[in-house]
Amino acid sequence: MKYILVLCLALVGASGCTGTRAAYSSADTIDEYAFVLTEHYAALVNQSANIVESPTTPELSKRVLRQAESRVNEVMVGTPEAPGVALLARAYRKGGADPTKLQEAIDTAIVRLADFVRAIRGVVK
Amino acid sequence: MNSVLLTIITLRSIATIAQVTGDIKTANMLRLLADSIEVGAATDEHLALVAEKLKTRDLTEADWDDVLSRIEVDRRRLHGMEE
Repeated sequence: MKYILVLCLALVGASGCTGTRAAYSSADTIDEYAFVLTEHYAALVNQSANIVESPTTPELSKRVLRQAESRVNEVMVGTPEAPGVALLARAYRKGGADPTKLQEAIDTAIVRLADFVRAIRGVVK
Repeated sequence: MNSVLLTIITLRSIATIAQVTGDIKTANMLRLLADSIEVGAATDEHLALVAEKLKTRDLTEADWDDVLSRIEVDRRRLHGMEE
């Protein structure tokens, strides 16, 4: 399925979302992939914060965004006791983390990040 | 049908096929891509800059410090936390 993913990344590029495609394609190592995922999450947190700060955003929408973001944060950053993608990737760079654990964290983070994106999409529509 | 909508539909369709064939990771990634296209240009522009960074040099600890710092600042704004 990997070649299909590559084709789809090309498709994303053709649709005009070249930045997203370029970032994920540029990642050559697992920690670089983790970095792109973290930056993707950071951009979405920024976008969500802008939405929440808008006086016209309903309280329910704010709650939805906050809940969705919190679920991502716990697997994307985590805590020193329960590190997420970013903390595991930093440790991996220094030779102190199991790449399998990092991959598992990335896999979980992708799912929650997609949920976060859908939450934002539901609010901005 | 415009190209963006067609791309989204195609990505979701391929994600469904991937899921049916048992490739859950690919399916999840494709759905993330499809949803990201819908959400907007600002994120895409930001990730374009990230791509340039990765192409031109290796990641540093400062890069990680920077992204984690930005996340913290924006989380405070999102959750209405006091500074």
